[in-house]
Amino acid sequence: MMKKVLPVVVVSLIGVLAILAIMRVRFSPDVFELLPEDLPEARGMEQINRFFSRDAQLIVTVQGESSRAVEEAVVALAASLREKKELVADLFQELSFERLVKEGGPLVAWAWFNGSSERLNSLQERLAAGRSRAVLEESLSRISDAFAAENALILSYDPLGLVEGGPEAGGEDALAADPMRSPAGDFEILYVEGKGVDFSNYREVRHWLDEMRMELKVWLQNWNGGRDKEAQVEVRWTGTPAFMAEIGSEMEQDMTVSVVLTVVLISVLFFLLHRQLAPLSWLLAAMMGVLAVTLTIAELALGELSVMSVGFAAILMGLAVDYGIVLYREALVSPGSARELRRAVGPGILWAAVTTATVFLSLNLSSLPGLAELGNLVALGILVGAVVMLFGFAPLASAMARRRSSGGFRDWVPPSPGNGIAVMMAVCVPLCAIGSLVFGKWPGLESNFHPFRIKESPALVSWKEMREHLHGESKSTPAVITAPDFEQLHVQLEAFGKRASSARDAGLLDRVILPNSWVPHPGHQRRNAEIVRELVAEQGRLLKEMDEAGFTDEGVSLTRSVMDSWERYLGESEEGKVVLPAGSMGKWTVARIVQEQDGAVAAIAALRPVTPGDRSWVEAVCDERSNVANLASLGTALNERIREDVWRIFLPMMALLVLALALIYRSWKDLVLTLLTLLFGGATLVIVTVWTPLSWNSFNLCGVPLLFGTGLDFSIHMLFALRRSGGNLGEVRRGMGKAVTFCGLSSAIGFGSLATASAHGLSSLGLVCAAGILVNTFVAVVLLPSWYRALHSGMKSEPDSVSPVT
Amino acid sequence: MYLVTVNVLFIGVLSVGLLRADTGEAAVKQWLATNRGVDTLKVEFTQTRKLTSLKSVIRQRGFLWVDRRGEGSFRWQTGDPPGTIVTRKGGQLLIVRPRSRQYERRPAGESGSSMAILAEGFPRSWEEFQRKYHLVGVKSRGEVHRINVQPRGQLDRGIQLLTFVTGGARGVLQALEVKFRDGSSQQIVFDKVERRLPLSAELFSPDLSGYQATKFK
Repeated sequence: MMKKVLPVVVVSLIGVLAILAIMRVRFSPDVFELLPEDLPEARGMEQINRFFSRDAQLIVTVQGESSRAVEEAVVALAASLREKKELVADLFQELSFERLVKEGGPLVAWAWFNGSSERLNSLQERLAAGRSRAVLEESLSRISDAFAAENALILSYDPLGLVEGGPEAGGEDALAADPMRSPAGDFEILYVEGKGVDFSNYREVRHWLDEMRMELKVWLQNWNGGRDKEAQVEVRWTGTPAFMAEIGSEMEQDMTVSVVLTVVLISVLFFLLHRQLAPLSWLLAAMMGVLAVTLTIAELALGELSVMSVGFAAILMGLAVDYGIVLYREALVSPGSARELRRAVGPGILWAAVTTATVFLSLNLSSLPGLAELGNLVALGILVGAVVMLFGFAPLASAMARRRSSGGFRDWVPPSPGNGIAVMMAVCVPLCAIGSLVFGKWPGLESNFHPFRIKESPALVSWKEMREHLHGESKSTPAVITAPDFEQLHVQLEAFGKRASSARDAGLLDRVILPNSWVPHPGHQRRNAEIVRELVAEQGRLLKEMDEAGFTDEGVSLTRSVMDSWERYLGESEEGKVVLPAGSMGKWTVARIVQEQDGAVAAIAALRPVTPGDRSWVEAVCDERSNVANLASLGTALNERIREDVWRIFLPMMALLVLALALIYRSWKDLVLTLLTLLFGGATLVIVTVWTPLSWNSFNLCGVPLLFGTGLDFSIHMLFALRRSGGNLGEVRRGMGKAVTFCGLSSAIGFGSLATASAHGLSSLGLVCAAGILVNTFVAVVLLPSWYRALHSGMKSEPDSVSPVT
Repeated sequence: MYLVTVNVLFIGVLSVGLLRADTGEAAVKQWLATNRGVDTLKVEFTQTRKLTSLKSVIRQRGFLWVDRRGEGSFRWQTGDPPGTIVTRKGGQLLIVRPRSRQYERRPAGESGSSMAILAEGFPRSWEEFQRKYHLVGVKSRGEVHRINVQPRGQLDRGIQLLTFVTGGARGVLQALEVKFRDGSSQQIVFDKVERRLPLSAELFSPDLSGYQATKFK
């Protein structure tokens, strides 16, 4: 009884440890670290994330049938959210004239203080004693004559023309590149600054988002409840907290699902093939142990796992189980002590582990840091797996094998076909692949593939919807310009502006919006201080004249606020500070365009490339300090880079392996057979990718070296077994054939379980590798023996046949 | 007996509601009928602007000519001599300030303002009315009906309520009132309306000799 319960208890205990290890792992939802740093697009995205993405800033979108429905809903929703003081720190809406009058004084004042002295001089001249009354009279006349009442209204709050002569007069407004309301007014966004949790921790963010979701749901039900259909609205959300919570949760789920799926499928496979529960239980315990140890080491070494690395656990499970199977089968064939077992198969397992780990470590040659991290983790896990199996599972395997004979296994591996069929397949399949390439669609790389994108992402859907409504067809691309300080930033901006203008003249860009006037300009501020001081001294006179001209307290409030703000900025300027706008509206408005962080400053410009996917415009405008965040050109760049990578990794590896194989085999026939298995596997993948929806992208293409490695591995094992047996196909099939088939199937399960992963890249990598490994297994176990017999025709080999179940 | 009383009251309340709704819609339709078949129009109006930022009320007299034939044109001007003239011909809007002898041309689509209601002419069918406005309600006193609407689309930004005031036996439009969100308001009273007048093309293409092109704020 005790003997039966013990494995269950141990498996459960180690399983719990493994689950605890998974739960302890911190997942990083940040995908920018996974991109090649030397690409301007990758740098641009990372800088946008670093400088401008606010972890706590949720974007709430409101959509309705009419502009009025949306406007009223946004006002009510904003008021409701402002009351949730435990969840919301601040909230920002589209800049309206009403808000500008009430809160915009500090921003308007800063715009003049930071602008060019020439423009400020002209303002001073207009407002000089004796002239300002004429300005007011002209304004009154325009208020009276204005065709549109709205224009009259705006002018009545700004009779001195402080707003209309603001920072972007005569140029294209940088804020216009990032609107918060659709042109038709039926879509609007709110920026909600959250509080109450650590927004760098996605688990806490998820909790905060759940509460926000509930608040929004309740508000929406109440709002839509008593209204006509045309006054109802839809509310969605996106932005950093939504992405963080979604990606973090998906990563947790991906790892758990893929590991559980792999373990279950491998268990089912083992049980179907071996019909034994005790060794299965211990094997599972060993696999869980490997996972727990590897995850703990990974956490200590890396701190956080990326969205790509979560797939390593399933791959590891699929590979590590092979060592356990080899040990158990050897123990059944040659019962003995654990030491004897290790002596017999230990070197083989260690060499296999080292070579497989080397293949995974070769992913470090890839330009994708995310893929390199995945390779490193699998390599580490494989080495851990070899050690755990040799020293943890081997004693158990030898003990269990002593109690059971090697007989009684099902003869489940299919026999090799006759020589004629095998040779015909060796010729036909590569020919079919060539035919597919000629008559089918050439399997190129997907041009708009984004490997790190989550497949089913509501936050991404809302994000795309928002871009569509706010930007429509005119999709601007943000460019980030960085410098050590604001003086340098203006120098960089000027250089960037010149390059962008040249690119526009060359037809590469059709729109360029520079943020210069929103970037604090210490030189302008120093020069403007004296003029502003003189203007502030005129405040009393100007306000008196406005009063006499007939403006009410409401009518002069904006002018008064501008004057007060100037006074404040003068004080800051005298302290030698670079003056930034005061007031929450001013701070937030400028923070959308300019940011200062970690001893560096950054500003956002907006570009509209004529052909976004073409990289010539990127090369024309970018340098070390100027980068763009464009997904279309990033996709192109990644594809170019991966194509280079494949040849850079693949060709040297191929040459080295051919040389090594020649030395190992010392037989040109066996070398040809191995190369033929690789060619056959490759040809099959070509046919599959031409005629099925499976396609190549910048991520799964990196699986090719892995497939190459496994194909090689399997063929070496089979050829050596065939040599040892003197070409006895039946013996090889029942021995090494079974082991290779189980290894192939378990590895395919490990990779195949990644098909459920939420990241596109990981999922496609899993699918391609699973398909490739299955092909490799079939070729090595079924076709290779026939080819071997055909090529070694002089050898006294025995044909294969299926024996009844023994 | 109790049940019968409740039913009668219920039906009564429903009937009053339906009748009121019907009366409101009927007032609108009566006004719309006056616009039907009217292709040209000349309106003499008095415009009163009451702005919260100004101590006094601003009054201006002006003229509006509308020609809905072909691609549609209008001319709007205030003051005598005119302070501002705005014309639309086809897709172009022309703003002229005779005092400063300056003008600006801009695409007509950019003139998203409450005055576009006047300039585009009034709706002539119930469908057109519903496409342009959301009927908030109609207040009637004698023959005077105040048709309160909210414009659909971009025009409604900043406008709290728009009111068409109709009166007389035929339900002719007498005034237009706009109430803004900040509490300001504008009233345009139609002093004289002439329909089906022969309007010359020159009226919508003012002579710009000696004028300078500019971009008004």
